[in-house]
Amino acid sequence: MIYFDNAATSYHKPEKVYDAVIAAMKTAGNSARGVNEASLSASRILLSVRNKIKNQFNAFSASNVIFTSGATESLNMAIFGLVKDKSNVVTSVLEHNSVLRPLYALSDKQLRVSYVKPQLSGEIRLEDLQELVNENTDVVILTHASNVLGRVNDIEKIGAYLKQRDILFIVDASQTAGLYDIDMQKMNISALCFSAHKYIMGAQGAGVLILNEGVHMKPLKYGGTGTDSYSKNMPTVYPEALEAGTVNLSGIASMGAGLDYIEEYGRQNIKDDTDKLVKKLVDYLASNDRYIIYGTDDYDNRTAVVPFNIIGMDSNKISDMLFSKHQICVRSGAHCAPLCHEFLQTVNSGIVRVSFSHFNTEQEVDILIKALEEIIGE
Amino acid sequence: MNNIENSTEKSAQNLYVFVVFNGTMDAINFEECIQNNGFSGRLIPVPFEISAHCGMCWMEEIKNQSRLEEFIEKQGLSYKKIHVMEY
Repeated sequence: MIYFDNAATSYHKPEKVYDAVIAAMKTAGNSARGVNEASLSASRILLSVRNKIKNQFNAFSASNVIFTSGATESLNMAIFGLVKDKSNVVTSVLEHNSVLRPLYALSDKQLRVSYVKPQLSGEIRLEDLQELVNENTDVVILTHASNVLGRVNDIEKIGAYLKQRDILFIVDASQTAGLYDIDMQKMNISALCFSAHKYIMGAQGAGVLILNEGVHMKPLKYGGTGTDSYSKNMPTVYPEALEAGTVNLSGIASMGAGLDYIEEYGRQNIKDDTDKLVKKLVDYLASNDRYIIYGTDDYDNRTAVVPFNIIGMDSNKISDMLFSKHQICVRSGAHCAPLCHEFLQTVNSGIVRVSFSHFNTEQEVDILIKALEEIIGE
Repeated sequence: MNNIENSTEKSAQNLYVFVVFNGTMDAINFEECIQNNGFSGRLIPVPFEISAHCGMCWMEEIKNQSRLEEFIEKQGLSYKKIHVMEY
């Protein structure tokens, strides 16, 4: 089987990620539940990963690194926690349902939500965003890179503008964390959300919400923290205030191991490796007018996704043919990004999305190209 | 160091210093920082005499109290309160 759906989840993991999961399961108890070696071991793992994340993303403080079950939970926490009644929110048509559905769920709060449209490349330009921002705008929610189109947005430029206007900036970095440098201070990000299992190459079921200095929110979940047990309220200090219940320790440990691996291998080396694969496939697709390629050709600002269609074919059928005949896994359909497909006018066909990991090889891309040639009958 | 509560006037026998924290992360961070600095203490569940809430604190020998307080100050370690009492 050839796996090309890394934008959904990484499949090939660094060995140290597997080792970290097993080690956490074999050595750790439940953090902050008692003071014994098993519990302390869990707490030490959490502290170690919090510190790594703080350093990697230049978070304000390790205690503002909140562990979640993934980017969806992080975004739900940020949106339900920071968007107030009658908030004026600006977001984009590129957003995933993990942003859109929480906003729809808040429709009884009399929100005013505006959706900025990108360029066809997938780039959200500051000037287009500025047209929607007004004196009442209090929250902007943007993806760092669309999971469909892969264009990386200039969130540093956007963040600087929003800081001037004192507007909260929630960033969905699901597609970029691990692949691109993200500096919360430099980019003026109020709340950064991502999962462990995509380009950090950790396990599924773990993610992070990082809050910047002075960003406070009510919790989404209430429950035990191992502290202040007789209080009817959640603790007010981070991370406990937002981490009710038992965290996914082995998943979090895997995230730490993934970050270690990225540091050792080199983030730029990972990017260079995936760029080669992207370029090889894009060059092939561009050589034949039976294909429509979506998104950007800017290699300095793109993730490892290649979105395309075969003219006149249903994307789901293409993905089925690729898997059933060639054991190649790709993603087709709507990618949980309905407004993006409305924008691209691909609601009726969907899009085939190939997304690489640096563990993929050029030989695997050759096999994909051969399979596509067979499908288009050449 | 004005967060110090001396809850006993008894002799130094069995007296310990207890550093209580605002949260678990601060406690684990404290443990990590204090290691290999000549202290003999350890993290323990917070004694009920200090608080009935769950949580952990650092228990240190009384003879190290001054050095411990200096260390905390110098390292800028976060804590909630320091108690001195029998254990």
